[in-house]
Amino acid sequence: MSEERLHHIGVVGAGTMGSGIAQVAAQSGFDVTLYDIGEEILRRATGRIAHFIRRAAEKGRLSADEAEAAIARLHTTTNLEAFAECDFVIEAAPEQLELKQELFGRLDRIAPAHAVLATNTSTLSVTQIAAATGRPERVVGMHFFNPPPLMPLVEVAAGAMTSEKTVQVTVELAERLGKTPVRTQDVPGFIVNRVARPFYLEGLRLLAHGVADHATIDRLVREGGRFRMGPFELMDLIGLDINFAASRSVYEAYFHEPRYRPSLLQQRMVESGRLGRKVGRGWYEYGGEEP
Amino acid sequence: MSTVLVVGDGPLAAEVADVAAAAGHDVVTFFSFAQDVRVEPEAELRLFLNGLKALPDVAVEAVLADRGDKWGVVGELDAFLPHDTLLLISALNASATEVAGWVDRSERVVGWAGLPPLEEATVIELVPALQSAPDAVERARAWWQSLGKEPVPIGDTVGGVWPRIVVNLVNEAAFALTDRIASAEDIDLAMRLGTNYPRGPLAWGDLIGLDQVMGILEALGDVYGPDVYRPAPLLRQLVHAGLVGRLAGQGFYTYGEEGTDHGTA
Repeated sequence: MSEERLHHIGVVGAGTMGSGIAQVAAQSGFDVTLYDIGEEILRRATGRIAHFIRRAAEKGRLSADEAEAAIARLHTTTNLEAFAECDFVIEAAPEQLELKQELFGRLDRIAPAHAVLATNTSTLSVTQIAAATGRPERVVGMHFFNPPPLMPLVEVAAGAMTSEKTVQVTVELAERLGKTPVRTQDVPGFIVNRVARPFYLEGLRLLAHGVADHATIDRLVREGGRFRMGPFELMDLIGLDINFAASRSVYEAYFHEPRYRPSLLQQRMVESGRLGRKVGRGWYEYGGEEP
Repeated sequence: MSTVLVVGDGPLAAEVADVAAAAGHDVVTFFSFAQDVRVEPEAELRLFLNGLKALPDVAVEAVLADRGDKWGVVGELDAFLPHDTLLLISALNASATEVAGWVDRSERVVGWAGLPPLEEATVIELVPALQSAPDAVERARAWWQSLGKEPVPIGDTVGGVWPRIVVNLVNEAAFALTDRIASAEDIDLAMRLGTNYPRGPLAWGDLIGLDQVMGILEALGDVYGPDVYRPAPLLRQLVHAGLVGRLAGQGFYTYGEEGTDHGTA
């Protein structure tokens, strides 16, 4: 498929990631069809997207006319058949293998033969999702970071059967979306979620070994290493449950490689409901009263 | 201001010397960098110490690649320097307590931890040994403060706090490169853009020195178990080949006249 033929992008899933990706695509000049299972979810998503695009216009990132044109390029549907016109589909459904495989099976029957089917998965195997289609050479991982309109990185992950042409088309699309693509093989966690594991796990080991308390570790990482945030404040921001699940999934996926062994200390935090900022307490207390 | 002797085998030692000189101390250095032809650093150090005109008030050690060399160097320092010279040893590839146990006058040994780029750090990790005398710890604190680095006390172990996190990021990135999941440039780019790290872990490893990174990882492996801290095969290969990073002109990247940079592995 040549790049010139790539006009119409389908996005599956109108959650935070899906609606963010749809927004970026509409703002970059593509016709976008956003799919989800309920009208109400889609109404909320389009309201949110229009709000963000108009706010970007107010900040001068695009003109008011461009903003309205971008909003007009966004269409929604609860019928996957609408993807029969799409040149490129990005799936951002919940991270459940069976759900994604079922979706890709249907997309394979509906989307034009030339269309690339991309998954925004961060933890599942692209190869395994591709195996549910008759076109595994045109299935690829396209991993955006949250929130997609602000985060510049896209990991383009080649499954075992993905063709070089598909990778190229995906890299070019990421660039047309104003993103910085990096190429990676289809390994658990791709690059970022794998290479970042020691940032959290080593922090947790330092705490478990009694070398310093969590606030001191954060401070040294910031003021010594010059990181934006230390591991514990970052875990609080991400959500300890999410971060623990990510560590666990990488550990399982690499057949219990000891480097990725999750932290018992973190598990106890999760079990006690101290999940971070979103609940007001994690490694730190946020607002409210001290316990 | 004091007379300072800095002994080391990599960029960290060179940076301590630079920061100390910039702070107005009289600095003398003894470096045995990995790419030099080395004949027993402790014998050379002994000759060097004998030739010193002014004896140092403070000696700072950062010999990270080889614990045998570290042992030899610290022994020479303890044997040849005046009894009141403060010994600030890097607690990166051995705990301060272990190093203090190597020498006769253990009470003057105080550990520290940090990594390049030291200039950007506003803190230094202060690592008292079990044997450190309270006044030695106070002198160590004051000396680091004179360099504009706030000393933050941590428990005595190997690898410090933030250096331990960084060397493990370097190692994990080196595993990713060993496994050929992506290019060196893409791994570094992904970590800078995807997680806001201040620099890519592979470029950071080249800056620290890969022999230094490996020395710290091996010490962590000795203390906490080699399964978690096993250096990546590619990291080992580069160190064996002397391709230890920026200082050698090649590591994960090749450094030309212009500075950088193309991935090599």
